[in-house]
Amino acid sequence: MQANGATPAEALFIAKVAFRELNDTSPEPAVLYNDLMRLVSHHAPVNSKELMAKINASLPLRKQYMELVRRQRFAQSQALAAASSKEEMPLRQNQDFSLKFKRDKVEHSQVFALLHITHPTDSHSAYPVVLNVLSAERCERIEFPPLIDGASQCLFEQSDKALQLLLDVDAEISIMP
Amino acid sequence: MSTTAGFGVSDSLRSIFAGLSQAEGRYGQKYSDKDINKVKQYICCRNYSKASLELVYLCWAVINACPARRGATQLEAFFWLDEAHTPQRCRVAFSQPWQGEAGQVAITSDYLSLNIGKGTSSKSFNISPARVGVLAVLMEFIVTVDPSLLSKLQRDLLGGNDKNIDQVARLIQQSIYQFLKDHLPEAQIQTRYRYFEHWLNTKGISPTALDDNHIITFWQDACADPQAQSYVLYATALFDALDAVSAMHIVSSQQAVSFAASFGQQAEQGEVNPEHVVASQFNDEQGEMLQTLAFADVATYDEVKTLCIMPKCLTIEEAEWLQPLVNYATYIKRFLLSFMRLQVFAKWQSVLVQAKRKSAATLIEKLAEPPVQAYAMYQLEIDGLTKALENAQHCLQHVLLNIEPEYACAELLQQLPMEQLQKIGQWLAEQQSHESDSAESWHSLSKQLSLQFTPFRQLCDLSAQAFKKNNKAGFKQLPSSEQGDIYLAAFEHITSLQKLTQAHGKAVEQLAETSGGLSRIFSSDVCIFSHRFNTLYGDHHAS
Repeated sequence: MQANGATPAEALFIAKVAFRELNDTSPEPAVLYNDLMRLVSHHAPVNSKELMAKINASLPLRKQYMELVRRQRFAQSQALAAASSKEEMPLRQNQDFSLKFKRDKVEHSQVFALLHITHPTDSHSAYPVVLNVLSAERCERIEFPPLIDGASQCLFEQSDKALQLLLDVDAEISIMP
Repeated sequence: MSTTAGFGVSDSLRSIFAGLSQAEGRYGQKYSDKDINKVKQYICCRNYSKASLELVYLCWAVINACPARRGATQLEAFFWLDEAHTPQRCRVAFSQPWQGEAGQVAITSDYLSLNIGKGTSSKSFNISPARVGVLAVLMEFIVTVDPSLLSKLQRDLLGGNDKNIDQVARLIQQSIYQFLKDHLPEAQIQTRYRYFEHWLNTKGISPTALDDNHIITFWQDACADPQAQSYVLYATALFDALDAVSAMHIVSSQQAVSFAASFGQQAEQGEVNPEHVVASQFNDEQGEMLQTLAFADVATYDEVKTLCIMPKCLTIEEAEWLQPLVNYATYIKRFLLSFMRLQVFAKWQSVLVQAKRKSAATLIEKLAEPPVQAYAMYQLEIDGLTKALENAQHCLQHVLLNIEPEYACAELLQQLPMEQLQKIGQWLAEQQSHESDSAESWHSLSKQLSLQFTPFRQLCDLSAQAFKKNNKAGFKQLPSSEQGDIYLAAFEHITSLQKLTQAHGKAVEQLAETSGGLSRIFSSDVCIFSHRFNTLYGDHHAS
């Protein structure tokens, strides 16, 4: 609704009140492009979990996030072929990277995810390696520790949602630069 | 009846600005409060067309003159990966002059200089690197409002000419225009103004004669009026009354005569819709004039809560107490009692609103607990704040003495009595050694002054002791000289708050003397507010 024929004093009042109300109590901050750009990189904001929850709750944001991941990724593994889905913990392997899973021999409920990148960038050894997993229902970013000799590993509980996503044969996994 | 003020701006719009304030960058807070406030003003005054055009020119320069990055466009690299919106990083981003089919871009000592097109028909445009921070905030705003604009900018400006620039700027203006139609409903705010103006007229009160009694009467009248649901909160009634009086004052002043005339013509033509004009012809004189007049006292809109982060000078509670005094600095003396009521009874009302959301029992409990002796305590609160500000000032002084010694010396000297200053002046004249302006020379001077003059040393010691006892963020250890600007700004901010608080304290003291004691006023106010709150939140609401 626009103001009809606002007098100068009304126009000034509207500007002042709008400014005051913008400065008033802070609501939940919106997800900005800045957040998306930082989330796909290794410079994740401190509140990245909350941001990912907001992204997953909004279809336009999820589309935007997925588009950024696909455009900026360093390497990817598409959804696996149907045959692979029979394996309990299907590995992902291509010329750029491999992602294998190994159950802990002592604690059977724990699973190691072993990541190896064939030709890593410098930042893969200096910062956490960011994996973005895109499935039909959600997208998630998972951080692995920085690579040592081209490899890194992460320990998950069997029930961990992040592990379930990594094991999802229908998900697309992207490694960020 | 509604228990909250009807907001004139939507939650979505407020959440975008909340996001901007909290945006993280590689070096901490990404966008400065000053730049965010500027964009808020553009939006509130609908004065965004020139800034949009300026932003598109900047984008043209970035897209054509800066290299793309693997997987990221030039715009993404400039605004988000490199965060080149600070003057220094902007200069680095454009350090290589560029010349191509579409024109040329170079950075000079003052400007980012653009030439769009070639030959005699080329068009030049300059952007100050200091302006890029504001444009980056606007960029983030428009991309949130309409994410498709980012790819449009990228596509249409690569090798584009001035017509493309105009077209893209128009698209941006249309997107903002459409967004604000839904999220900044001016008509609702306009109704509030008209309601107050009508009330003034009915009561026969001139805006210049408005006083504390009128304001509380206005709130009570509006509360009792089912047509005025925006005025359930005392705070909203007070702030709206002050904003309206301020608007009336500006318009009636000589300065606004031409504005009123030009605005009148605009209003008759109806609101300008950017769909019908090209960007370069967009007539936003009205918006600019409006922004200039509405925010002439913009320095008073400093966000006090920035002093709660780094360096942490104040608690959130202290900042919230000070904020209304800062926002309405020009009115606190004239409406002193209204501000005291705000600090005491508006807080009680906030508690009641919260309690009502929680449960009926909590509401009844809180309703039975009016503030006690609050006006007598008010003076103590001011004293406490004055001490907190003084302590923060000492701590900042100690930091500045180490990283900005020239500034800190000048500040400390000002605090000495005239007699001491004269002695120091004589001593300095005899020394004739202070010719260099380097930080080292100021360091050694401050040490010599400490050795020679006990009062100066006492001030330095006082600052050092305060700093030593302070374990809050930004005071745990001495910062590096690169952070000097942040501490200087905080010091100036604290100093202005101190002056404001002292003046407020004196005014309260005077009121206590002239009114024969604050307890009498307080008793009467307790009756007024208790009665009103019982009507608003009493038994029938709690049941």
